[in-house]
Amino acid sequence: MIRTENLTKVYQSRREGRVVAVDHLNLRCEAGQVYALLGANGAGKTTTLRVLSTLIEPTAGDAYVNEFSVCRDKAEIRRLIGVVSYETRVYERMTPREIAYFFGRLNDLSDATIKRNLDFIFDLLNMEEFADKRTDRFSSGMKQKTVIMRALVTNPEVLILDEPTAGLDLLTAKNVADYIRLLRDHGKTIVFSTHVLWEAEKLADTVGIIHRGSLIAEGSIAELQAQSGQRDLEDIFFTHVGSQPVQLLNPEGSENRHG
Amino acid sequence: MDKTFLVFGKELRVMYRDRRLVLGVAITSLVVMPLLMGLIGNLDRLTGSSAAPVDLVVERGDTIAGRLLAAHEGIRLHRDRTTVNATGNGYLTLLRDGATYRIYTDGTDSRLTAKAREIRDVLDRERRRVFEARLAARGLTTSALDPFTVEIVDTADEQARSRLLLGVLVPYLVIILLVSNAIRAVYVAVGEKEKNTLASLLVSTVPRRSIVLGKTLAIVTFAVFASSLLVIGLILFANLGFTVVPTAGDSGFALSPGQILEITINISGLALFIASIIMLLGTFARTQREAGVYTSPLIFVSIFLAVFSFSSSDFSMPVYAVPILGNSLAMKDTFLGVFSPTHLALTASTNVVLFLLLVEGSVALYRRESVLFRP
Repeated sequence: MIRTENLTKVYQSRREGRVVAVDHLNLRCEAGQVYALLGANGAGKTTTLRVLSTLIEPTAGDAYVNEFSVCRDKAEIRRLIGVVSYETRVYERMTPREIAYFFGRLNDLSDATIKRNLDFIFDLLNMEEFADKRTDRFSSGMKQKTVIMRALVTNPEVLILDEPTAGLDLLTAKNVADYIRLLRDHGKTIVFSTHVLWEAEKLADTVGIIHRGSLIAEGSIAELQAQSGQRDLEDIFFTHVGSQPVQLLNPEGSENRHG
Repeated sequence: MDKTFLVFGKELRVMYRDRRLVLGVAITSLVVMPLLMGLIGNLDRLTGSSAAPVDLVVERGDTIAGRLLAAHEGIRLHRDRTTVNATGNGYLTLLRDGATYRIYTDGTDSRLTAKAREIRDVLDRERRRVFEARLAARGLTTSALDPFTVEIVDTADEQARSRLLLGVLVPYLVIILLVSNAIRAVYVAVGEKEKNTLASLLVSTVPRRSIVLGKTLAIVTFAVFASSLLVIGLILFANLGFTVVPTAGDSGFALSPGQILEITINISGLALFIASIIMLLGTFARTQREAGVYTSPLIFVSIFLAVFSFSSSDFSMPVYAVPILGNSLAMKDTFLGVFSPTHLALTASTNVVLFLLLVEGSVALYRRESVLFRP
């Protein structure tokens, strides 16, 4: 299970001064569920996922992964999670297989376990063909598959995915979406952020809409439909967020650094 | 420790697959640097400057100088200034003013100045011979007027001179090589941030200290390997007949196993210290360019400290605790055969203590979120 309790993250930026990226956020994702975090650029999605990934410390409040605190139990949480981010790249002078063995061994897996996990992942993501080629000549889609493979090779209980299908072609994006569903069926807990509404609609048990660092709506698609009186997720989203153009939400385009 | 070596192995693999880095090191170490040092070592032979005779203008009426210097090796005697002017080279002029000979030279031309000293010695020997002959003709010996003479006799053998030359040159070269090659490996520290691969390492179960130690050891390995490659390149060139380092090659000087051990301890400590500085600066920097700005002063500081190996002064014990300077002096002591275990222990332990402190500094930076996201 993943939950946050009044999670707050404030940055002191030299250029922008005090930036409240996440503001008293309370979300809850039950074990074995898929939670989709929807929001515009700069809404606080990436910051929330970075806190859950133990990459950054909350300014106030706390977040829990299987009841381990991100403030106190980082080592335990790192054993449980696999992280995919649209920002993360792969080692350019290594092959996907080498990367998988490197991260598998870092996470104390035996070579036999890594091989077993890899056979399954390579087949699922159609990676066998380029599994032993260096990644420096890969297309962005092949690189993204490698990033996903690296997160999955440890067979983590919890997956934290920050826009996992960004840069992927439709077919691969669908494969990744199918894989998320498959992982959910295997009891994994998954939190992912996305701009692609159909992904949230098809995959998520719970959708959270985040705006300016606060969770402004949360529930199943049916619950959100009932709350807003809208059928379509896009309409639901705009009902909650308002009709402001996306640029106005983040005039500095700070999603990459703070969002 | 296992995870440290996993990180270390990954860094080495990534480095040796960097074709530009490997080619750059191989070409620089095996070809460019030995060629440059070979050029310097063989400058005289290549330009033929030392073999060319020096033109000397002597007055027509000066029979003594003419007789003494006509057959002197490396001197081309002229009686007329106009003939020497035609060569376009510098020349010496010998003029007699009563009992005084004056040799006019160009102080900026070391070849002329050296030859001027030779001519002075030839004339001085002749002066003394005439002086002794005149005294003898009056039944006197030189001691009657000249009670004693003073001479400096160099008792150092060829081996001792080699030791001094190596003791001065080797520490300087080793320090500059290690520092410059460690700086080239700063990519190990900063590359993951620049290429956005660090986050995946930070969310794995590998401890921060293992990441820092693995990367630091990779920098040490690269710096030592690249520096060794240059030594191999110099040896290869020396075997081809080039003078790559102006040492007394046939002196029979060789390092004892004990001295090799002393040098190994010294260089290991130095490499650990330098690599940990590079790691800390690379960890702080966001890009390789920024890391370059931070690391470039290090080369100047190292040159400044390493150059103390050229000094003939005796340094007190606390000086050996100054990193790089202490390494330079301790290495010189090894070559001169005046090794002091206390001095080396002080230098090596300072290196290790600073290495541990700097590693802890990098670990502290790795524990902060600013290692990835600096606002």
